[in-house]
Amino acid sequence: MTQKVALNAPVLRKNDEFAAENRAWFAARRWTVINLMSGPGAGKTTLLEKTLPRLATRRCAVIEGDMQTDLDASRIRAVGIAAHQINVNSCHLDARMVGEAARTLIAVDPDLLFIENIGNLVCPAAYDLGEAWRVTVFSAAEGSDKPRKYPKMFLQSDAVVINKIDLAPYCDVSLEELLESVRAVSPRAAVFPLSSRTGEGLEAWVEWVAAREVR
Amino acid sequence: MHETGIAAEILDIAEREAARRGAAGIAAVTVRVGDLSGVVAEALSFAFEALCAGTAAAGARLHVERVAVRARCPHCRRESQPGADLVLWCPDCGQPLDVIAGQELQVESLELREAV
Repeated sequence: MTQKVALNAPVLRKNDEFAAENRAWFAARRWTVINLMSGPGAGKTTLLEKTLPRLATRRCAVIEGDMQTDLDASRIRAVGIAAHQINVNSCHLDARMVGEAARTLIAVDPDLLFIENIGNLVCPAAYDLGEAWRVTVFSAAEGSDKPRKYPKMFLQSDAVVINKIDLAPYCDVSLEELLESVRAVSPRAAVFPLSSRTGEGLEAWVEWVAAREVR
Repeated sequence: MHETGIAAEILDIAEREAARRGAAGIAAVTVRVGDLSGVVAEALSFAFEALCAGTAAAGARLHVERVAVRARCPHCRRESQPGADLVLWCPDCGQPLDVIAGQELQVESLELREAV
């Protein structure tokens, strides 16, 4: 004999519980947390290298997620900002990893904490880390069709950075089409077309970041 | 993507519930997977089957119910199924749409073998 049992349990409920703990822990310390997500090579670390020195009014720190190496944490420390590197053979960061990493930054006590997620345009979007703000970084070189092909990350983001706009002409990408594609799947997000390399468009993004608070 | 990790979470939820209810085993698991969840049903079933071997869920069937994307306009309240091009703007009033279905990833129900 079998018995049918209704459950309606979220598959990621363990992660959701850790995320809720993180959110309360961050809020108690007044740490504003931004989860930075993108495919690999979209330019998250370079964006941070250019953004962090412009956030003079904030005390920043960064949690870096990568499968291997502490190259990214070293790059962040090179611009004078505290960084903790997570190395994990996973396609995304989860809330438990972030909770442990955050505790290594208690002495720094940042009022603005960036989490640079593992480079992947799909999986990180499914995992709440307890952040206050979600940002997708996308590079013009990836092509204007990708936001609609991989919509989940975009539609959950508070802001979308379109990086490497200086490369668009070399990749036969129309910035107009790309913007339209981003707006289609993230209709409420603040959108920042910019180039970390040339500095074009960086100011509006930095202003948005500087104004983020716990919510 | 991470279907093996998702399958492990599903099995864990099912095993805990089966143990809590003193069931003899798990015959079937039904999950709801939204079209926006990024989860591939075939990969999930494959991983689930492999992970179930040697557990209380050995041989259990995994039913995957897909949930289509649905959106609602907060202004005119019209519900729609955004097409394959996934434009999340209301065609009538030009307002951003709220996604109200399609992001699900849930264990909906279990079929448990009763202890004799």
